[in-house]
Amino acid sequence: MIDFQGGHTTVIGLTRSGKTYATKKSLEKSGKAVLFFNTQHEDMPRSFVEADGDNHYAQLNKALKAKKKINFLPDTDTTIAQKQLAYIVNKLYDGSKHDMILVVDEIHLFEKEALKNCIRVATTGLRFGITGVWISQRPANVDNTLMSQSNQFVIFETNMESNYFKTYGIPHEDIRQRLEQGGKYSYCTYNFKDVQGPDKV
Amino acid sequence: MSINDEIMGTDEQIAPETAAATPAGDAPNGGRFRIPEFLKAKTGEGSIESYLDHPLNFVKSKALAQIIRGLTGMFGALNYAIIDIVMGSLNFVKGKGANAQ
Repeated sequence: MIDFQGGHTTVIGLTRSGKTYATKKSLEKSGKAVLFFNTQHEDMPRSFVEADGDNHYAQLNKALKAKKKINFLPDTDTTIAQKQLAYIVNKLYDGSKHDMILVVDEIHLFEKEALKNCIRVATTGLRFGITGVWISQRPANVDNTLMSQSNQFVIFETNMESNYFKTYGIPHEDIRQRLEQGGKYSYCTYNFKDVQGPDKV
Repeated sequence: MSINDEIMGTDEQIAPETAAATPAGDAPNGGRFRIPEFLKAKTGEGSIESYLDHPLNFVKSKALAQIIRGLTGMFGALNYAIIDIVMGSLNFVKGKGANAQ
């Protein structure tokens, strides 16, 4: 299982590499509240309660305080989805302290206010009890601040764009070999000290 | 307010000039389907027979009288210029030409 307790995490992997599946399975076991911004409307475990833009933020907040895991289904219109993410993340800073994990799938799709608010989580979220988990297909497309503020990287099969991995000091060659060894759906974890894995969920 | 209401409300505050041009109307679904007001108009006053001598009832028929009564309800006294133009055109086409009164 992936451990999301140690700080912000960036999860990287190609489509169908298992990154979203592994993330949601690991979150299921977490004792924290979870708000999973389900950009691709993936199927989620039954333990997640569904929510969308027709819910009030107060309902989300109440569920988070009760340590529920929320599967938020954003609007399929990307303009509205951007605004929903921006709004929800902004509201998380309404003064109350949380103990939660905010997960944004396909983080590279978000920009402007939505991205700005996620960056706010990356830089100040831990103080307010908000741990960020950013899921993406390509490290090249993930905002630099989100990457640099991550305490760990969980890496599935990728195109291994070595330049981008080097930028963040990620030992891509070591990881590439481990993933080859581990086979399909395996992943490695790098926390700036050492590489762990390959593992599978 | 729901999350969607909140974010749409913010949009209207930022750019009220880009708000929807058509009003919500009285449709329960917020105006997606709106019955034109004129279709809800009551018919004109009086009996059908009272429209037999209407200037527009040039064939003095009851059927046309009924139509004229309905049109009166929708559009009023039917003394619009456009009515004259349309009816005059029809009479002209029928061959009354320069002799039309």
